[in-house]
Amino acid sequence: MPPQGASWGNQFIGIGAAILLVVLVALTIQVLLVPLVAAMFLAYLFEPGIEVLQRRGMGRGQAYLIIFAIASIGLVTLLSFAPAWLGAGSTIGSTQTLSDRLEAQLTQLENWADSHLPMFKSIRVSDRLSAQAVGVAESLITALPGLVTSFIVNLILVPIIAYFIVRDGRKLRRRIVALVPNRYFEMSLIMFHRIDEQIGGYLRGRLIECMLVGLTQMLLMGIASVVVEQPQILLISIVCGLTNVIPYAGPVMGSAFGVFYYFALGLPSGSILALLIIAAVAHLIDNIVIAPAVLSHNVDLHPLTVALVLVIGGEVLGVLGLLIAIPVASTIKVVATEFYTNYQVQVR
Amino acid sequence: MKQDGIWGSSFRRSRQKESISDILRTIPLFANLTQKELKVLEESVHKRTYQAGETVFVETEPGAGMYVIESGRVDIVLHHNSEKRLLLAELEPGEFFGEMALLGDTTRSATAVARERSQLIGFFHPDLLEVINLHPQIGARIALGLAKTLADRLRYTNGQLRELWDIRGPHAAAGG
Repeated sequence: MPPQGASWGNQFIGIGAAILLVVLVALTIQVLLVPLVAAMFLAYLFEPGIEVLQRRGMGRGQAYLIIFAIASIGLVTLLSFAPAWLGAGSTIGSTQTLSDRLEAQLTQLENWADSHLPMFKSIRVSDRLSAQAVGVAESLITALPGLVTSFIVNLILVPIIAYFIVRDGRKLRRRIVALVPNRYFEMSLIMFHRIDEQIGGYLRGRLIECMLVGLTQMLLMGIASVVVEQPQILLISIVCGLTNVIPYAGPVMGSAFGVFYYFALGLPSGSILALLIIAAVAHLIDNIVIAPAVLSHNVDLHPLTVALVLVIGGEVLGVLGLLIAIPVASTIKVVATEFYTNYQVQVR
Repeated sequence: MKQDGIWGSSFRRSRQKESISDILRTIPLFANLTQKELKVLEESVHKRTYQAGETVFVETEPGAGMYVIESGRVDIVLHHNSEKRLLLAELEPGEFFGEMALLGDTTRSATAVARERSQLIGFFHPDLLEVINLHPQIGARIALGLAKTLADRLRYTNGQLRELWDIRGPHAAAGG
């Protein structure tokens, strides 16, 4: 029988090792969460193409590399040969800084508000917003080197992680399922299948929808640019397309970015109004034509649940939380439903 | 198979130590597959070990797919864990069960319990969908095999009903 001191020592080492492991896992997740989520998006987006090549006898890893190469070349070509009207170059050739232009615009807006809405005279929106904007700009400039580094690291890391997810994801899933006790084996198989089906369908549908929304926005802005000034069409369309991933709040965020940007550039109100109308029309087209066509795999969550999980996701993980809130909620729903069904059978 | 019943005795084979593809070839569902196709299928199946008395699946539970007995014996019973327990079949190596769940979204019509330590090969609805998606030709052959097996089962049931009709009249056959 080992002495009690040795037993305590072993327990102490065990607890220490467990804490260390938890900290290491937490740190790894914190560092790798963003590239991991982005890689999963990429893997799900490429999956249909990978399956087409797999049917022709190609390995999953090889198929991923081919599709990734085609997508990268396509994207670079698109950006290199973007038509002049997309305004991918610099903004208007003004010598004013962004903060100067923003301040001038705000002062103009405040003068208008003072003359039309005298009760808001004491608020001094211009000063407050200007100070806030300068503060945000300063913090952005301070954080910029870090952001650029992290962007470049993620740009390299994401495709590599996606490659391993595509190549080994199914094998890993089979190994996890193999570890499940017999009693829960079939349940876990069904659960994995449903999660994969729902999340895969939802993410692919959403990503295709975002691309089409961005494209619609680009076309509409291109048409509008014939009549009113619409600079940086490509940038604004990409932002509108990307933010569209977030249900409900996304289109508002995309439009707000465009309006704020045009406002800061000192463009006439006609351009801003046109942008708002275009964003509304693009959103309408999305709801009537694009979404019903591409979102065949609905995650079947109540709109109130969607709103609630978006608020929680945004509070906990910021923008990343907004992006993964729906898939995570959908996964939790599938797991809970399967466990509940199983429990009901057991108590019957 | 010791008991009479729908579980069919025509699927039984006696065997020595065989590879998974050798075992699968003897199952009507996979009988039309070539050796190469069976090797592809081998990557989609799951090997599970059940101890004596362990439940493979439970009556009324959602089912995911079928099992082939590699070694050991499995009992198919109704009303397991109750006084009305009814043994439908005792399956032996080379026999299979639960294939209706391959069609998806079905509940188990009986309980399967390992009579002794058993090695089972599982093939499930998600695996079938994956095979159909990635290897359509193999998927079509399995689907045809499944249809044939289910048709055999239906023919057998019709035969049993006819016998019941002949012996006891239409009311007994209709369950009255």
